[in-house]
Amino acid sequence: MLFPMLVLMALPIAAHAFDLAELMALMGRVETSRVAFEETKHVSTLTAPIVRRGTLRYVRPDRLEMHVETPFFERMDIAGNMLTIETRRGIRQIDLAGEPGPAAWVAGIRATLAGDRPALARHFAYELRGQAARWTLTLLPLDPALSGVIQRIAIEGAQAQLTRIEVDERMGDRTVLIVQPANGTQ
Amino acid sequence: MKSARYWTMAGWAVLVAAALAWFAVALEIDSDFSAFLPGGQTQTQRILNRELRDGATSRLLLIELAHEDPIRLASMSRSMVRTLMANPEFRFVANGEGAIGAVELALIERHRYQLSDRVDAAHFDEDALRAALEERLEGLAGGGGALEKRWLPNDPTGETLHILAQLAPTMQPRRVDGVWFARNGEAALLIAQTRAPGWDVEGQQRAIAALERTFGAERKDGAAQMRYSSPGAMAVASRTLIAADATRLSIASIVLILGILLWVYRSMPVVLLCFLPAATGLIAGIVAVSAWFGTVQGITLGFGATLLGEAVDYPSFLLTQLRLNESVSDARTRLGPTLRMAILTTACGSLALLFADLPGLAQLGMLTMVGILTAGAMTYWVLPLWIPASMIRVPELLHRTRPPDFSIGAGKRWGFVVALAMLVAALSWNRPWFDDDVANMNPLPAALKDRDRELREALGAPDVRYLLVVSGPTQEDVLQRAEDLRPELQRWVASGAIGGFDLVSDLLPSRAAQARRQASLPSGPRLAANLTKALVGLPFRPRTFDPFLAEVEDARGAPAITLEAMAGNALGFKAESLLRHDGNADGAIGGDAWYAVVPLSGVTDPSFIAHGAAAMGSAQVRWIDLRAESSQMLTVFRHRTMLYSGLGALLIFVVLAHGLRSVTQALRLMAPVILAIALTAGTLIAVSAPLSVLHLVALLLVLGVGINYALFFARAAAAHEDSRRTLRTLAVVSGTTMCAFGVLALSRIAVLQVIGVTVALGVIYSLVCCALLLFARDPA
Repeated sequence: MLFPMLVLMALPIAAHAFDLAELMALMGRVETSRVAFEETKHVSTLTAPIVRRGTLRYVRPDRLEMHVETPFFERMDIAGNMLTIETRRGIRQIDLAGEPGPAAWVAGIRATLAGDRPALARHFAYELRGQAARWTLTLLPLDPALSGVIQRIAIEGAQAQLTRIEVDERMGDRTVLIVQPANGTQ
Repeated sequence: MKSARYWTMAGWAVLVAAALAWFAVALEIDSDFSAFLPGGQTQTQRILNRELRDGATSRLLLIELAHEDPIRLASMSRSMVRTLMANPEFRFVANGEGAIGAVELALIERHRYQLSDRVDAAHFDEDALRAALEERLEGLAGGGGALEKRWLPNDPTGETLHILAQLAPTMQPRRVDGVWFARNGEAALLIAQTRAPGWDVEGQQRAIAALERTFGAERKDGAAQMRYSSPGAMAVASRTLIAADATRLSIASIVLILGILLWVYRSMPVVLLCFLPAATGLIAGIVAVSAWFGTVQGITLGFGATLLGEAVDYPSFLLTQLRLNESVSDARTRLGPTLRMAILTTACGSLALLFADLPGLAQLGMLTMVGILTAGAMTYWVLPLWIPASMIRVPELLHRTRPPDFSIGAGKRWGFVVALAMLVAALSWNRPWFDDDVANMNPLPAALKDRDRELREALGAPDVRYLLVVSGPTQEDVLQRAEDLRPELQRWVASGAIGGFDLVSDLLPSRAAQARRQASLPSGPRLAANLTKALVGLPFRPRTFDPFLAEVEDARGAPAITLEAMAGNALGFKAESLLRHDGNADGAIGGDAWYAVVPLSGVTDPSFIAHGAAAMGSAQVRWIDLRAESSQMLTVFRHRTMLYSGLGALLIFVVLAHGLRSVTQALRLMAPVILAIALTAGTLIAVSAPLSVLHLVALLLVLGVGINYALFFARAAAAHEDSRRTLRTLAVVSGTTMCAFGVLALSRIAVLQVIGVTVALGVIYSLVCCALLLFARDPA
């Protein structure tokens, strides 16, 4: 993993624009990753944002786990199309296909992490800006069921490492997840 | 003589023309396969039949799309749903995406405080509201946040989600790209409910044609393939099969019989005249059935091949007996008593069928009896006028053969028969004798039934076998009883005895329950005060829950949700399928006109449920195991058939005793035939399968045919000089009968196949037994 990254970094960046194929190739080499995060939710019906902290874990190709430690325990485990949400109140299993909200999250982030360009293109119109060292991928949902809830997802990253995910909802609510590169990629 | 010939020909032509004209105007062919299922005596049986015939399950079409890229299949599935939903042949079509549509969701949301079983006085007090709000807050923060927001301002207690969870099917197939897929992820699955009930084959055929058209347009030139199944689709398939089989088998048996008769008579006109009584009999039989029953069953018509084979024998009984230079009329006079007995005994055999509880079988009885009598009458009275003796040239070969020497010692004869009987008895003794599984009565080929089972399993829509039925004099009454049932049903789910249930009161609560829930809703100021106290210390913005306050206030005075309010959407269809009005309520239990069907899925412990239902101690709640119930109906039916068969045999005996003027002679004639029937039954049990009602019916036919053989063997034994001719007769008639039934045995339709095999086997045994016991004599 380290070798290709060094090679990439050594390339003359200015020579050409960083494109999605390159980003996807970059991401496609990550087998597993585990990072700490801080998530801030701005919800219009609440007087203050909700801040949650925990860890995110990704295992190729389609396993995504979000472990929230504060303020309430919550574990979200996405394996294939099945989303399992475990809270203090119990465990709930959701078939992602039936839930456009969570499905948008999952489709965008998982396709990005997996470097799965066709999956990304199927669900989103996308725009990539910046360079490999610092890029922003903006996703606009295509499916009406998705775009009715989610307006825009902006994923920022440096090389194969995500640094920030922002989800803007139609109703004005906004969630910003900032990755703290504690353990880094493996 | 000549004028009599012309007059009868003219009369016959007029009658046949009239019958054909009647066919053109009034003949209605019906392939409702439930005509071959037992009719209902009690209310339970009527419910059963109704569910089978036009219940929600009977309208349910299961569809599978496969052999393509899954993403492509998913998109086909979506656009097929859109097209089919717009088609008037379908009530609804679903593929898993948003199982509950916008209309249904709006209805549930509007009536949530009447629909939710959690609504009571305590549900909106300060503590309960506080707990609900805390839960919402946690939910907003959590992974399902997007879902929470939708309901937050107007429904902070989460009633809509609670109702949806209760209505959600307990088992759903997996999904790929938002639509249902088989577990292996290779086939997209859809369900559709047709507007036409399952028994309406025309309507089902239209729906299936629309489905095929839609699929064809979607597939374009792709590789996708569609399979589908439903009771209606099976009825359509069985109609097609029956039509194809009936045509194919009739042609095959006519060709074979024609061949045999041509070889015997060497004259095309004579052979054609031989067919006339049978053809006339068939026409008369169809007229009788259609006049008496209104419609004619496709399967009954398929049986026409049988009738033909049977009735073709009558002219042969007469013509193969002709002595040199004897006129047909003289031969008729000579053979009259034997011929009359042969015809009457066969007619008596089918007379018993007429009393059968299955309309399909009663039709067969009517068709056979009328056909046989007509063909017999025509052979007896008309044919001698039409066929001059000069037309008959029976092969010289047959005249020249030496009289057969059929002498076997009595010991050997009886020894053979007893040994055969013991062998068959030994082989069949330890095997089950009777089979009353209703599934085996289904005229459909096994492949279609297998496909149906596969699709049902894939869709998690198992064939409903276990039901609770809640009855009552009014709709309100039934709904209240259904509500009372819920706690017990929940206990059953919790204990794992059942996987889930569909309770109509979950989507249509009784008026009493709705009124009780509405009355427990607090007044506007009370609710506002409770909410204000509950919100203390929580980060919700002020006035967030104003919609909630307004909607609770509205709900207090809202009109009750009714079946009519749901009409035309998925909720309405579901409610209608679970709640029935039994128009024919003269039945067993106090004339209860309404009943709710509560299908139970994933039943692991039927006896526990049966006890639980009995322990409720209510005559209005009944537990039905559809399979056991229909088997029981079949058992009763089988006993009846055996009774009628006994009655048929008794009638045959009376006819014989009267004709032979001797009870002993009648017994002597019947004994070998009864033995042949026992051997046939034993062989079938030993070699193929336990006997069903259909086998019994076929054995009844063997009795009629066997008696004919017995009559002619006895005649041959008595009149020595006639024995050559009589053996010739028997060779010809058993040959044609074997052809007709042997061909029937090749049918793909179980009903026809069973009858063919049984009768063919019965004919062989009858010939052997009659030859040994009636014809063979001790060596001189």
